[in-house]
Amino acid sequence: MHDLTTMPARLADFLASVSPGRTAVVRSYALMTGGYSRVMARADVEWSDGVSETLVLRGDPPPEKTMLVTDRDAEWAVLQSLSRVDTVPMPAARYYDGTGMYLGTKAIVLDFCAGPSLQSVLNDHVAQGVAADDARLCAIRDEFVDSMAKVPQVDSAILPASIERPTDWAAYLSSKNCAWAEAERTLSESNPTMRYLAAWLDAHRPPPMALALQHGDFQPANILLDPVDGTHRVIDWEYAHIGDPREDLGWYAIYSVSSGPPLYANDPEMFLARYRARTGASELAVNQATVGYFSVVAAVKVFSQIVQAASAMGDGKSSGVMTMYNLNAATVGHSNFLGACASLAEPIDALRAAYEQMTGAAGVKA
Amino acid sequence: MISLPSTEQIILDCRRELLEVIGPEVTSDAAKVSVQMLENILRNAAERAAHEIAWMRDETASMEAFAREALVAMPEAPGVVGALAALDAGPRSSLHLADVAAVYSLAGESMSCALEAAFAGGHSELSARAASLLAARSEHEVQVMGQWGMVGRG
Repeated sequence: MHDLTTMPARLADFLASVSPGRTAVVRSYALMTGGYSRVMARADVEWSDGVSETLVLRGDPPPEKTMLVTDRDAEWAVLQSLSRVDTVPMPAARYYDGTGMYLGTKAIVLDFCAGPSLQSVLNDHVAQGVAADDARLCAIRDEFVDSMAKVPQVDSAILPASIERPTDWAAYLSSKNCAWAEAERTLSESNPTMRYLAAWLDAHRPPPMALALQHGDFQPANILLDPVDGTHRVIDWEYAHIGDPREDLGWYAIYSVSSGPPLYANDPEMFLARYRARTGASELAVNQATVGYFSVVAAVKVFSQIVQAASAMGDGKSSGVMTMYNLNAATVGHSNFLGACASLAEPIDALRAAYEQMTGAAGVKA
Repeated sequence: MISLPSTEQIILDCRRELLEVIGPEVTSDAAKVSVQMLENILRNAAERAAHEIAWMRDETASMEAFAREALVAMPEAPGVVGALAALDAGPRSSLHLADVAAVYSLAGESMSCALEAAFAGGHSELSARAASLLAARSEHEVQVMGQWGMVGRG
């Protein structure tokens, strides 16, 4: 996908193969910036039936440059399922080169959304010095929460058969917490912080929630604004899974620390009150302490891949500016996760006690 | 060997060249993002080069002390004896960077086994000590990082 000289012809061949009865001419092809995990490109296409449109290609980087490994087949299956319902609006997923035969790598072709990302709108507000409590930022926060709240309300029955469907919350949480220690054991150097997190998370479990669809990387850079009405289009579903609904909340809470303005941290209670109102979640389940807890839980998937990429680089098996640059993301993670553990033990244990008193579940490792 | 300019100074001057000479000539958006990232990486590398051996030696001593203390409190703690034996067998007297890093990793494994045993056994004081040591480790990482925000996103 990086070869700007050959890709227009390759893309034209691919489009002809998936759209029988017409051919396409690719008028322009350019790589896009903005994403950290996949290679993205934009192409202006003219079809033989007179239709002109802009498409987006989303494929895997070369293996030696890959920092975050996810499955295009799985993402394509999720996109197809979500396209059949309108619970969470997103750009239409159009075509898939599932072998890489045409496009050089497995690649998904989507409709182009001409509007800006929500992150770029936020960046503009920051550049203009807009205050955290400004009405414009509050309105953006509310719409962001509304979009986030739609994700767990997707009927899991419409999701592809390939998506894992855990049913037991306690077992699911155990597997997520163990992932910290399991990932650490794959590294070429020890990381006692990761082992500490696994032990701490298991020792301080919050009240449970029913498992539901999670986006897995829900943040403003993954929301595009419709150029006509400004409504949200959610993109980048590569980490979608069925999990605890507080994972998306927790992931955004910690992600936004290094990619602000932090719509959550600016006013957590307003953020969470709206989320609870939109989803029907209880305050016992969705509150600042549980979001803090799940900020650590949810981070393991990306964090572990960042440190695994660094480990592979240390072993001479990979390279890349992105791997070196994201060592700082690991630093931010270590600092924030340890801070979360220090501040959350008491409130999480109190919530757990309240839940057990309410449900009579004392002694049960929920 | 010539020790001055120091590795830190050499890297920082490469960063200056990147910012003042190369950066302004870059036109593509993707390459501009790479330049921004490289600037950050070079700044981090300079800070690391200046301090990492001293920091790893200090932290190694603290982690080893923690593991040995935990072993006294929990003689049956899984993995701790073996991890400390591996640490003892490491290249402890060498100051070559690769050896210091290897010993640092072995000490980290000793600490990890000890803290897991502390949580499993409900030893809250040891668990709190582990958190304190990790916080000190994190402070060194933050000093390497300096100011950092994700570039190229949006």
